[in-house]
Amino acid sequence: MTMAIQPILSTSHLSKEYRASRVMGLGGGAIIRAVDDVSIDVLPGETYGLVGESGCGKSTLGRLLLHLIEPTSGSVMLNGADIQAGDANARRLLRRTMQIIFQDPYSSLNPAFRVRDILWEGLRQLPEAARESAKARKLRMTELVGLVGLGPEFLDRFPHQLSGGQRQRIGIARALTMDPKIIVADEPVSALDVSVQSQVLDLFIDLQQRLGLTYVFISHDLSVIRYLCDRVAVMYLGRIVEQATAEELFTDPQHPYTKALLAAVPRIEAGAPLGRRLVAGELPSPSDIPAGCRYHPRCPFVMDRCRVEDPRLLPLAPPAAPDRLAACHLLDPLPSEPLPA
Amino acid sequence: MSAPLLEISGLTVGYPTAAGMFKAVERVNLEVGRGELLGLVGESGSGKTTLGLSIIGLLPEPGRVLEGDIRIEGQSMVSLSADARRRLRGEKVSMIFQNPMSSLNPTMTIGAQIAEGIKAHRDLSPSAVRERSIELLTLVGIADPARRVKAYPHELSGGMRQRVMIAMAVSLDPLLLIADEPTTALDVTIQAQIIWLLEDLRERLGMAIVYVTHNLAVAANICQSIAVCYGGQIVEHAPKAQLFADPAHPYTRSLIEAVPRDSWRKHRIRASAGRPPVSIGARESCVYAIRCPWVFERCTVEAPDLLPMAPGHDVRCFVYEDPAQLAIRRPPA
Amino acid sequence: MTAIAARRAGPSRIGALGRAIRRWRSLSVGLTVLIIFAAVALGADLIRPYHDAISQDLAQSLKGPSAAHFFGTDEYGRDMFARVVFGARTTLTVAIASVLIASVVGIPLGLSIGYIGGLYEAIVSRILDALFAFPIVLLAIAIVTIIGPGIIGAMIAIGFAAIPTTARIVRSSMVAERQNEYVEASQSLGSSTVYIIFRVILPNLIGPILVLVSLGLAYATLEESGLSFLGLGAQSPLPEWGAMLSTARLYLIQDPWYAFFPGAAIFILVFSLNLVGDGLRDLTDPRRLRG
Repeated sequence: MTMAIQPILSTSHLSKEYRASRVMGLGGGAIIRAVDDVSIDVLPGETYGLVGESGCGKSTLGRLLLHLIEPTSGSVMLNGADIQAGDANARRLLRRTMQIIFQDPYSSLNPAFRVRDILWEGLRQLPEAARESAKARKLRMTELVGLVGLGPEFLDRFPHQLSGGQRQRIGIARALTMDPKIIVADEPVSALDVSVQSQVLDLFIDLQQRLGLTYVFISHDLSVIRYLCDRVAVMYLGRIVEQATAEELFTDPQHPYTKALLAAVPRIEAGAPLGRRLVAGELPSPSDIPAGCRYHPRCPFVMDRCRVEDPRLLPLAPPAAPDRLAACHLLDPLPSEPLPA
Repeated sequence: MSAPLLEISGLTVGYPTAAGMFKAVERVNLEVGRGELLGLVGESGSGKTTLGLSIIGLLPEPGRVLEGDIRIEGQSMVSLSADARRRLRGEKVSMIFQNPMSSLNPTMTIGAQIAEGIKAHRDLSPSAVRERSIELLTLVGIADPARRVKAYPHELSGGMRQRVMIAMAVSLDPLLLIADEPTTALDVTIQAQIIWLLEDLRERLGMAIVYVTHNLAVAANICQSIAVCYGGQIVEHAPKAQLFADPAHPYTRSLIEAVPRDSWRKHRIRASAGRPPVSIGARESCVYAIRCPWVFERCTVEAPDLLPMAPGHDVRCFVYEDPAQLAIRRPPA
Repeated sequence: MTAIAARRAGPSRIGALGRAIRRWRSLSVGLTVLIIFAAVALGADLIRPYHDAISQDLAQSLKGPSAAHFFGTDEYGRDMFARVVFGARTTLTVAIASVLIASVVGIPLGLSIGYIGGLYEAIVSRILDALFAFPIVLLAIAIVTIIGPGIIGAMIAIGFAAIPTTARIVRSSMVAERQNEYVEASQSLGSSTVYIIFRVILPNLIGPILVLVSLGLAYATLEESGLSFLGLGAQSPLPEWGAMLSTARLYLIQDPWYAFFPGAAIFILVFSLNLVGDGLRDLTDPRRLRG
């Protein structure tokens, strides 16, 4: 956690705006700011969590990291190099270094392809695999499915012949075809049953240990985030509102939104009445972001300042860890009002 | 004590398939008292939704009640005509679903949709119906209800739509509300709000709620008692505190273990694998036998019944019928 | 076909196909009739010599069905059975050729505008709209003035007129299909756009495209009969069902059988093509694929 470690992946003032188009690509509609001025650093070997509710921009951010969509402004740096600069070679290297795992185990596998064809789509991009004999190729594929805990007999199956958990394992194997360093996982267990969820999460941990992977793990499920992540960024309406180690975030949340999120999670242990005052209001539409602090209409601690001034993501005052960040006027090193209990 | 509000006895629901009768719900016994909040918990394919739909008499074709009965206030629902059942729907029992968008008609204002249900059952003047609609929207916590009755579903957020669905469901003061995964499609802060709303409504209107969910933690939060479903059967039914303090059925135990919790941090989760087996034809073994860590000979040749192991605590497991087995499988601490 | 059947029902492709055919009766009835029509068209010379279809015998004009002439005779005493049999050849040729024109142009166009979208889609769609707004009869007249009347002109006119519809339907299937995350997965693996459209997505659109083609054939059959009826398609003495109907209309009172047989042929062909189209739609309905 020292500053000496260079981030493997980082973003700088990254933003993505969508224009809701009216007539087939012509004419302007409302502007939706899905990701708004996001700067993060992901360290090699860590699991960096992105957590937030629907419309917070976490999936858009994930796709920006992979350059699957163009940012409106800002940049993404992979090992210090801007991923938008560079030629076809650089782009190929980006694909090999970073891969994605999707949420929906149904729509993320091509129904017309057998598992072997799905894996081949990645392998054919590798110069060393594309020229291999059929036998060597089969061996490579067997190894891949073995890595995700499935036998070689799965290579001949169609996606509809697999269970949700098996499909998700194939999705993981596909991401591993190019031996990437970083995997962006977008809600990879949300569509699975609880008992299957825990197995797939364990597979993630297992693969990280064996292959030295770095994960950007996107989820709306706080317990999953807590189970898997080293550091976590909480997103709300396109912004990061708090960043901390998982331990700190869950034991000592600082931003009112983080507190609300944690209070809202149903827990077996607690059973205690939850802070209803914390969890109020509706999520505003991303096309109509409130002025000032975007959380102020829902915040029980709202101050006059919050209605006019957008808080910046700043390090917390000591003794908090230096990479502990929050965007809240209450936590400003020089608060204008005392912090409520 | 009169008859319980809802009494399900020996209920088996099947869907005919090319391979034979698929039993989605099998030999289910369940009682729900007035004002009780019961959680029906299970993974996909456990039959919990089919059970919910059969209580309200909305089984999708070609589903059939093959055996057993569902009684509401002592009156059998199974033997009623479709017409009589329709009249009871809304009055006695009503239901809310997982996806509030597809349950609402996009071309009608929400006021008109709430009014539709009221007008079908009550002879009220248009102004009285309108008044009642606004009152219901207030009840479910929608701000500015007089304006919102004129809104169309797409103008509302997911959480508000679910509130509207709840307003429609309670418009006739039902005795029993079946809530089928009402918060699964919602964000966690909105989920919490809807759960609290249902708790409030239960207290204020005195109705019973059967809360169908795959999320044990959600059920733990609001329900008084919990029935755990697996492979079309109820495998354990107990008051909440007892279920979590002393889970009896091995499936319940694995389910509780699989819920991510605070104390976990990157250590192994022990969880049982796979989906319940598809049950076609007659059952000659325990549904859980294939996955069960406690399995012994009897489990593979016979199907256990749901039997009481403590007052109010029922379990469907042979281990509890045999002190010798119990001592081996679950030695006292 | 087998790919679709296998997608539904698992390991045994052949068995699955058999089950599917038993289950979708309209598809099998429609296909059977189509195969009979195709066989008649191909083997017309084995049934009757072509000479029968064009040789005149005025003494025998406008006779009803008899042992010598199963379907009766026309106003020149030509054997209607031979004419209907050879008419199948003309009609099917024109229908298939025009659907081929529409598909070869329309399908890649629809796939690309659906996948790429944006300005490219906006421009191409406007051009297609302009083509769509052009009445088919006007198009046929224009072509006839250039290359003279005949079935070639009819093929081109029908084929071109069907391009916008084909492209639009394929586009909407593509737009729906590309929402799937597997498309994004292909992009993140670095596959090229052409590879993604034709190798990754197209196999999943075969169902809707088959439906489109079978209904397109039905539509083309009707169009072609209509054009011939107006004298813009097949020219005498070439036997063609629409042209026959057109003349038969003048003798409806004297000899109703004259109109009956070509009319019935058109009806049965179009009806069975629709059966096939509906059957394929059921068979490839995505709602039936899952679960």
